Amino acid sequence: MVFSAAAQPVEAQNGVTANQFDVETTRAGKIIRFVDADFSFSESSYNSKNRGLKSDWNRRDLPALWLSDEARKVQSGNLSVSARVRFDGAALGNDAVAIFTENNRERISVSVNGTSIFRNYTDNRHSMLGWNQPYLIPLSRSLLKPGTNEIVIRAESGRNHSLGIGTIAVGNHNALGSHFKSQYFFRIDAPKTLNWIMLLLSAFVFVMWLGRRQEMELLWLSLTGVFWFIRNYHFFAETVPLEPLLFQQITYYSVYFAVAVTLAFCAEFLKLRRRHIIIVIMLGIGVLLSLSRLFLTITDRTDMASSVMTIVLFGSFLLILAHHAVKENSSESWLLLLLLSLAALTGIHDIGRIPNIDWWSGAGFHFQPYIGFLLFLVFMLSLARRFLGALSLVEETNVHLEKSVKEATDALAASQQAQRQMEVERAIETERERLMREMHDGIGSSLVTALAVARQREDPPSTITTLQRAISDLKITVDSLAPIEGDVVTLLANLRHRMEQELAQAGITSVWQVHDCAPLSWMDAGHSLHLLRLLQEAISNVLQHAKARSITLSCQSSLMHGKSGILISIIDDGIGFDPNDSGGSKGLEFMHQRAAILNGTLTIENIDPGGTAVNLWLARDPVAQE
Amino acid sequence: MRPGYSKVAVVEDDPPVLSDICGAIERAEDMELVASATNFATGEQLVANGGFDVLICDLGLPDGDGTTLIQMASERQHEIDIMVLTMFADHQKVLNAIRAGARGYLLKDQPLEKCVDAIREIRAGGSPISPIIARLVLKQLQPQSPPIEQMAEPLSNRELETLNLLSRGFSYAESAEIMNISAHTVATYVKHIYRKLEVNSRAEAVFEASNRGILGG
Repeated sequence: MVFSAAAQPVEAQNGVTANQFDVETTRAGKIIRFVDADFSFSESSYNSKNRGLKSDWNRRDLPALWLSDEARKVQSGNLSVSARVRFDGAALGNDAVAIFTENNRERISVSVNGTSIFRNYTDNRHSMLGWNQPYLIPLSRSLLKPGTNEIVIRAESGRNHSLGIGTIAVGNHNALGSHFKSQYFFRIDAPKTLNWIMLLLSAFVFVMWLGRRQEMELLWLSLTGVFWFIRNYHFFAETVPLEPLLFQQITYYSVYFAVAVTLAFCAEFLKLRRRHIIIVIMLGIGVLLSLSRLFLTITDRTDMASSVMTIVLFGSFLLILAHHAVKENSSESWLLLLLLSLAALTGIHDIGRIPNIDWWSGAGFHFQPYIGFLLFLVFMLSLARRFLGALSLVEETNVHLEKSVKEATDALAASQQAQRQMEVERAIETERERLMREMHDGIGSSLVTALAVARQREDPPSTITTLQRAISDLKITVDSLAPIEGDVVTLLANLRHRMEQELAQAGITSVWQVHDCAPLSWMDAGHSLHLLRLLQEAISNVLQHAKARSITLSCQSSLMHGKSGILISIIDDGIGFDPNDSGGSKGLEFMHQRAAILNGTLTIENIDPGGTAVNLWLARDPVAQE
Repeated sequence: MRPGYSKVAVVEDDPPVLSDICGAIERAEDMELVASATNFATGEQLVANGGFDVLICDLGLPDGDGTTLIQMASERQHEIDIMVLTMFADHQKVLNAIRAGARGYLLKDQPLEKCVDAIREIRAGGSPISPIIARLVLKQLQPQSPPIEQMAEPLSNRELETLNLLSRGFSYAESAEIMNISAHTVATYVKHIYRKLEVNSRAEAVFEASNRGILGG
């Protein structure tokens, strides 16, 4: 499809010399935009002296961007075309004026009334990229003359490149300047900045991917950035960095791969089912499109078929994505769907702006250099969000792990402690067994044998009593070793049980008044023995001296000086005792000593109407170990 | 076999103690001494021969452990009464003996008539217990975390109550009064408790053995 105005010889136009133009009046001043111009494919530079003699000027509408076919017919080697506009200088008033031109392909030089005033290249060796560049050329008023003035723009291009003249406007410098500024910003500055940033970020992402090869999203993201940069480079570059034809091909073909890797990223990022197949298909289509372009099109034309195919590719992927978004209903997939739809729309917009399609002029510049960046940026942010989430998760996991480790360590420590405790207990137990064996087989056995012999020989009662007392002593020692966890009630009960027979023989009834008392944690075997000996002494005193009829053993929880503890009492109804009688003082002294070791409080007193009360108070809290 | 008449066998290595006990049994109207042994080897023979209702056995024999003899005797004739002859009625020895099958204990230093009374008591179906032993039996039959899901023979509520009272120092008579039963019933409960302790210990031993794969169960 070639949209070119039918060429008319200028001379056939009844000597009309001025070209048609639209006048735009802004606040800053007037702008004349030319609607048509006179074109010449003559290869010699325009020479004002030849003016009118040469009849190869044809009038056609501006812009005329697709002149390379015509030029190739009449020219050999590089292509060139001149465009001439004529206007009445009076129309510009007395403002400072400038010429504004854009979309010229590719290298241009501008002259006014035969005087060269601008060119966009410095030497002939560089191929220029002028197609997207706006130019603002100040025009000295001294060059303008009364009546008709003419501006000639000569464009040159490589044999295989497009040749064309874009827009030409002349007018108030300020008015054109502000227009130029915005055009320059949107066409050149912003895309250049954003795309270089994107390239830098892509490099960064690629390095990240090298560190984590299994995160394929990183690779696709960095490739997305790189391919869009390659694709967009010609939008903002002034000179061609490579061999021009190669550069042109790279620019054309890169878009298919840019689209393919973009979609590949989405597929990978959203973890679509069968994404590997989808990605392979995308890349395959990219290769197919490149090949189709290679075989089907003339190199300097935009390939409509490929553009449409790209849109179809995009569209079909959007359907997959939409299906996924509906199914998953995640904000991520909806966002990507929206973004890609936007990209597709701007793609259509840009295709419509391509000169040989020329459905519309749209926003006045291409969106494409932005859309690549936008896609890249959103992808990167999504990925970053996901990574940050992963990091938080890792932190939480670490915290959790630390906690688990701590718990495990504590449990281990506890179990080791328990094991040590068990070992200690076992050692104590072994030691106790050894002691018991000693007592049984050694002293105990001897005592029992002696007692049996003494009874058989009918020895004096004092001998028998002494032997019995020794055996009782051993029994108490054995009782103190019982693993009853400081249960004072049981200790006291066992003492009563042991002495029951003696008390009965002495005609003393024992009264048992015991209330539940919590065990004393500090009451170990050593303390138990002191306690039992102390109480045994008290009961022996009753047996020997008190002439009592009954003895009351009691045990209860009790407070003393605000501290909790237990109170053990041994109360008889005998004759009481004389505190000044030093006869049994040795026994009492031992009792007090034992009470002190137990950190207890011992009182021995006579009571009404008669008898003695032995009270021993023991603290609930641990005894200071001596 | 006259009712209330007991045939007693004694295993004891200390001659004076042995002669003391044997003399006391001979003198008693309602029992006779059928056999005696002074070491593990002859004790084994004595157990194998049988022919007694009561076995009185010392634990510390010069050539072996009395507990093993008790276990052999208990397995061979389940209905006999086995008593441990002990110096002090120390908890560990008594408990081990009960687990092996003993139902009571005699103190070596007891006056002789007491020994005979204890034999009569156990023949009548009652067993002695001290508060410490009661407390330890309670601990073993009511463990914090039972090694087996279900005790082979759990204590009945009455037995538990009895054991609680005895471990807190109440005498048989006092416990009986509190529970509103006879003192003899209390002694019977104690004997039952001993039997359950034996059964549960065996179950526990079997359980642990099977856990270790000894019995392949």
